[in-house]
Amino acid sequence: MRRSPHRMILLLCLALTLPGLISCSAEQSQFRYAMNLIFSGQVAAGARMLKVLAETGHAPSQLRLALLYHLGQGVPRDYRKAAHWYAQAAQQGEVGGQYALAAFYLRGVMGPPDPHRAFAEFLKLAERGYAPAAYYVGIAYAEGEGVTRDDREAVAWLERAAEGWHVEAAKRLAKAYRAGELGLAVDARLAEQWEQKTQPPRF
Amino acid sequence: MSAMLLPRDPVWRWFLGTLISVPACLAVWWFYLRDPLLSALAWAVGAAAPLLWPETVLDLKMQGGQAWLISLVPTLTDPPRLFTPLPLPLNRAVAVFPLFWGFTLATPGRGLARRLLLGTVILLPVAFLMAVLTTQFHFSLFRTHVPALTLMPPSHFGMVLPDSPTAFYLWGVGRQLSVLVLPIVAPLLVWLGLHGDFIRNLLFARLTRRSVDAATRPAVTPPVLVAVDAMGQETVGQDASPDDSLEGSSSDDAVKEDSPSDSARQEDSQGEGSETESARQEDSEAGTAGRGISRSENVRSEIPGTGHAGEEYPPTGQSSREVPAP
Repeated sequence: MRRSPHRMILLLCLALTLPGLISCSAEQSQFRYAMNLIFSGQVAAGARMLKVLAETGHAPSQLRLALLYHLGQGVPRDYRKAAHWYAQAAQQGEVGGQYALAAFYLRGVMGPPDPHRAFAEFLKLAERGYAPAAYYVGIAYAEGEGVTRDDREAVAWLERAAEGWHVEAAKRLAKAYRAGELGLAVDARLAEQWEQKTQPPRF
Repeated sequence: MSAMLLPRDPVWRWFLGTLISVPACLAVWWFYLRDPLLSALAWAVGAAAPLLWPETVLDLKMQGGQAWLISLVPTLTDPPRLFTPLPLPLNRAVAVFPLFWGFTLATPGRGLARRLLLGTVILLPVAFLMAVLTTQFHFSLFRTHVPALTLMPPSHFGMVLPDSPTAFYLWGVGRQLSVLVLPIVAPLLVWLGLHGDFIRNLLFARLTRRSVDAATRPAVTPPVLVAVDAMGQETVGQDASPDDSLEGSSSDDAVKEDSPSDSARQEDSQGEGSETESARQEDSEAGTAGRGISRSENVRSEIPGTGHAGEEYPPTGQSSREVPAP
């Protein structure tokens, strides 16, 4: 029996899309629906859906709900609730949750600033390879904020952040090489190299 | 007049047609079809986004002739943003269609509409794949936040971990494939697949015939045609070729020689013996058969009524036989 090529193409398309259909869970579908509502302007309805999902432990929903409380969109602005949901999301490894929580501690949004807890949160995230967190760790080592001052560690973390294309980290390193800060010898060539990191590359 | 301007070689005719039809199709695509095709493609990729990127990509939107990826990854700004729009260059994904249409329109043959439709349908998943690969790379660029190829990441970081160097490199390869390789290779391959007969008959047959001709021509010895009249006297024709003597001597055959299906063959022989060919054509146009004989002036002069040789040759009282050359 000869099979028609059209039927074969249809079967192939179905075979390709089937794993995707299976992989899209109910939680993910509801999360996408809630985000669609927010994107289309129905923020309050989207926030309600996210809250239901966040309470079931869905980390992406927890992070977005925290952001809504942080921004005061669709719900009244509430930093405590925002911090609560950031912490919940951070426990499940959400990068946004960890970073925002560390920033809250650093700025003292929920009370007096706590640079030690902020440093601990930033360090955890920096060790996972997140360049903005590495920059804050470098700055903390350089200024002794929340941790004992250590120029060698500061340079190492700043270099790591600059390699991840963090412009502020590259600028800080260039300044250190030009002025001989952070225990570095004055080196105009290296300063220029790091300054080039702050510019878009020439292709 | 226009027929005189067109090249006689079908390959050159196709090449000239391609030179005209591809830019024309590209122009039509750019001015009229680009936006609808981009919208359709963005819609298709947006529809597949829940399956491919369930928690990171919301949708693909068109705005001002530009496709935008709406990312669900919050941006690290102060204050943070819930959505990140990323511009997506998808023009090349839909440029495969006008290229294929241009090649196909220049190709002679039956069922043009069917070929165009079938090729377009085959190219649809290719365009979709190119759009997916481009989207994936741009999203990876946003996540990893490191310049790659000729592209810069957005100014702000996303609240997401970067891709591993290997994954980022692989997505870069995918992007290069979708931007540099597939836009040219995909329409060409589909065109080749749908016009295999044209390629075989015109290009390969032409090449193989030429090589076969070159190998065999010196070994062939033309037979000598002898006409014997009623008195038993023999007249020897000088330039009867083996093909001529083997082929039928009816006027139908002469007409058959001039049919379009043998045009490629005529083209082949033009290079080597244009004089012979022109004489052959003259004969067939005059309705003569037994061309080897009619080209021989000696024989022609002896045979009455050569203008209708198919009917009168061999004439009554005469007989002909072919005597191979010693």
